Amino acid sequence: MLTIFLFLSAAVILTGIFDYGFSIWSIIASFTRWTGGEMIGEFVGLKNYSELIYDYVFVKSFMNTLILMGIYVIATTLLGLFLASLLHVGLKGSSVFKVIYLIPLSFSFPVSAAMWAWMYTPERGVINTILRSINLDFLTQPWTSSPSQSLLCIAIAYVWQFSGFATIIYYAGLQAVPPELAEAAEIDGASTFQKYIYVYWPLQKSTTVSVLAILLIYALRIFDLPWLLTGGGPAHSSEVLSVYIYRTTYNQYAFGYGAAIGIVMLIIAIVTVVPVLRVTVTKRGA
Amino acid sequence: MFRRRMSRREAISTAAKIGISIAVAGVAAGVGGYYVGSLMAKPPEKPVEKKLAIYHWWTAGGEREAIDALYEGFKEYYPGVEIIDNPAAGGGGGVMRAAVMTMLMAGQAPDTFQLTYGKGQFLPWIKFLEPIDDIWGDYPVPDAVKDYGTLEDHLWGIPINTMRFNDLWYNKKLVEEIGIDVDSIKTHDDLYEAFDKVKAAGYIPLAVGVGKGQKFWHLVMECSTICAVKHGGPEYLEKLYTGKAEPEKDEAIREMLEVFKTIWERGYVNPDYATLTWDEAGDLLVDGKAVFNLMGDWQLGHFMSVGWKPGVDVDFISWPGTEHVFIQNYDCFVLPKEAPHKPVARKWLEYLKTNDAQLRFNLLKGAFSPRLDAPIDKYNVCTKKAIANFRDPKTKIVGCPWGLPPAKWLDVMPDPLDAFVVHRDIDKGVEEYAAAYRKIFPKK
Amino acid sequence: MIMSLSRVLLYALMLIFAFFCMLPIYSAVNIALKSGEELVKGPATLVMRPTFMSFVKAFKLINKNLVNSIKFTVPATLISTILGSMSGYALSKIRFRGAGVLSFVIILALYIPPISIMIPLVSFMRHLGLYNTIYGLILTHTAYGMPVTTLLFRNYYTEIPDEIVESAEIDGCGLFDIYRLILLPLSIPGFIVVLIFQFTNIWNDFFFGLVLTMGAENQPVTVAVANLEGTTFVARNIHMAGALIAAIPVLLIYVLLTKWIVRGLLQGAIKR
Repeated sequence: MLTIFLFLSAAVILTGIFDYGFSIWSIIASFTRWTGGEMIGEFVGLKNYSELIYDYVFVKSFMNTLILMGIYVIATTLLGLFLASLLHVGLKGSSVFKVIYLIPLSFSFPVSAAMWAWMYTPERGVINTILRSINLDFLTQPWTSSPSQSLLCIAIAYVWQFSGFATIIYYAGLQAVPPELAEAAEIDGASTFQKYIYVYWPLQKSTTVSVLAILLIYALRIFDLPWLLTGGGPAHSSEVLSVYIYRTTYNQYAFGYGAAIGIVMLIIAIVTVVPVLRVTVTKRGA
Repeated sequence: MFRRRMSRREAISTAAKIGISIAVAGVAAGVGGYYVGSLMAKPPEKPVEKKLAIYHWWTAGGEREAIDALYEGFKEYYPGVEIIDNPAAGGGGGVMRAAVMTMLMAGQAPDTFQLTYGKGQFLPWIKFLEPIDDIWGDYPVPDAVKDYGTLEDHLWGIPINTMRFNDLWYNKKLVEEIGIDVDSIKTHDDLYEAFDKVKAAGYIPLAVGVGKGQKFWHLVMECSTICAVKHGGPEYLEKLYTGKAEPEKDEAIREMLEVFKTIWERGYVNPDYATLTWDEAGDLLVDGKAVFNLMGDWQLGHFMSVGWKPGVDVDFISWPGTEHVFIQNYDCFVLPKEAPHKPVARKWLEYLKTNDAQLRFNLLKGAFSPRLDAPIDKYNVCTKKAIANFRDPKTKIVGCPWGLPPAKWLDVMPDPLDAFVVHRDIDKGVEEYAAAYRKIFPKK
Repeated sequence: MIMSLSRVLLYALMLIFAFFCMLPIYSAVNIALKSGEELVKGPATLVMRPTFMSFVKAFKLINKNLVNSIKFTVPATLISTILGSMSGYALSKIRFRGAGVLSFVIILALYIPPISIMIPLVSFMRHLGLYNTIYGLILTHTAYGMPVTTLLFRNYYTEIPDEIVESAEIDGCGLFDIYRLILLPLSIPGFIVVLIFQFTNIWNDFFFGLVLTMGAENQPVTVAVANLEGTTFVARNIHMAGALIAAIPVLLIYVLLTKWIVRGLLQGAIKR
């Protein structure tokens, strides 16, 4: 039984110290009014939290985070499954496409922010310039300069960056399906398309759980692209929770308030993680 | 699958496992708590080596060459010193500040680091800094400069490069082509007239870039305009930045918003102002698409880096109404209390004051020395104009948004401006501006 | 050879998405190949006189940092992946009280925003004497990779039928042997996925590298590339050239690892 402990010790100890131990600092900070400089601010109890509820920017960034999570997670998962299936069919040259779909994942966020800034800028940007050059001027959009489109633009950029990852996970999942099942379907007269709908895709449930779990987790923490591409603008339309924390902590030097937002984020996470884990745990017990 | 009933042995070992897990968690929490409490611990004493761990945000192009030249000079001034260079670019210095703040709060102070000079910027940092009044000594800079950096009656940083905010740059070729007499532009109405001519000729009058999250560039027009409007002026700007104004009622704010409104409403601004960076806005001038650009004189450095010659391809006039105003901005270095090699850091700051340091640095950086006795012959023609303005006793030198108001200004105040240029409702704009102002300076 | 309609359709779809993937990169490559006067024309206009100067300059500036990044990314990736598979196995295949709670706790750690732990982290590293060392970076990245690797492997192993494990138990295999002889060979695709994910995350990290190192030569390549951009002098072409160069190692890893996915899966299939 000690072996179990050995297997788990690394995870437990490292997570315990680096994640939970260090968070204590944050928890304490959230109860203070602290503007940096001193080691700890003055204790103000739940004042930061009560301010949060009335904070328009907090509420807006919370809603934005949820919307972004929804779009990004669903789109990336679906696109990943779709692309993985395309690759799985195994046409000649698929391996080249496989690498191409992974290329976006290899760039760090400051770089993809720069690339997408150049894509989206309305006058000289790549998207609108191409549209104009093929006489589709009417399709040009203000993209990130518009409050109504900025969040969507960021979602697209993230889908671009991470669909390769979803693709590779689904690809492994599809490959793991025993070929006999597909053959059986073929014998029954199923077309390629039907094979996927009725055989391959239904068997991807746990892969989907993996993909969803990871994407959801990273979606909540999304920071770089909204920060680097739009700074949360225009008018907080693309401000997400992590961006707001960064601004309050490092630009406004309100460490206590920023810590409080972080704790609220954690509580939101608990609420979303529990159902996800319930699914996986009950799956096990089946 | 069914659960086996646990034997007694297993029950004990399970309990032991749970117990151990709790103990481990407890230890982890304890460890974490210990480190929270021990954040004040001093690093172990060591003999001071001749090292300088320095943080800054001058990482590329001319700015990189400038600080390298500074290092060269310092090594001559203080031979044998080893410089540990830590460049951190981005966000107008924001990345470096975030990193250094984290380090300072974790007890790992650098020897010195760059900050924008100004009492407002210093405020969040002074608890980590040591006053440097003794190093400052009789640094021959204008009183306005000294006052600008004085906080709680002490000085905290040595400013090394002078930059002017209220420069309206223009593409000389286009201005000639369109037939605009820039020296006759003295009021905002003159400016609009000129803009109209530009528009009629098919070019963009004013290039603006507040993109990639850098909305604070709106503040350049804000401070320049406030200094120029009837009820405004540099004294009012100082009041505003030090919390003594009342934007809910002050005429100056309305007038400033009127200017913004006119400029945006009449389509004088490039449509993608919200997504271009400040330098890409400058690129519009170089690319021959736009004529004017209001930006601090580091824009000149950018123009030069893409091949333009000051005075030949580009020149500047003051933002109309601010001919006798110099909105000042400097970079400086400070002295952390916990600097591991403090004597070396002090020598560095001493060196920064010298004419040698400032000339080396500013020639490559595109700014100029704040010293009143600095030699000026080597500077280019545009910079010489700025220096003349700086040294003119008639000029009122006033602080910029980067240094005079509390640092929060940069994060909070651009929002109402950014929203205003879209909705252009003056009353709403005043309200939002005042509300943001109150977040920084709550009503007494 | 005549292609059927569905094959044409499939190729068309794959091409469309390939185009979608490559389009943003066009602007990066375009800018990287431009110099001076052409740069001011913006990202969309095609470069007229391409030059590789930016690539040369960028490489000279960041090659030491590339080595740095490799020095900590490879170990941290390997260690966090292996440890993750161990804890994933324990949490999915071994039945013990509290497995669910422990899973929850470990995975919940993923939701802690990095800003919250930055300051205690730096302080901790200082006290351990690991500040500004490669080992400090390896430890940090391993620790913060644990929750995600554990999660991925836990889900992956859940898929493997319990019967395989049980029959091994009946045969008298100890926990470690089950792990070593049964689970590991079957986990190759899982390893590939986790390795790809971890390598990407760790290589592309920015802020940990910034606050845990001192000195330009010790910075990871992400910080070095960001510095190529400059603050008041923007060298966009060199910046993009550096960014493209820094993406190459990751891409190489992808190419290698995706080849092995197929091979590993074939092995798994044969075992069945």
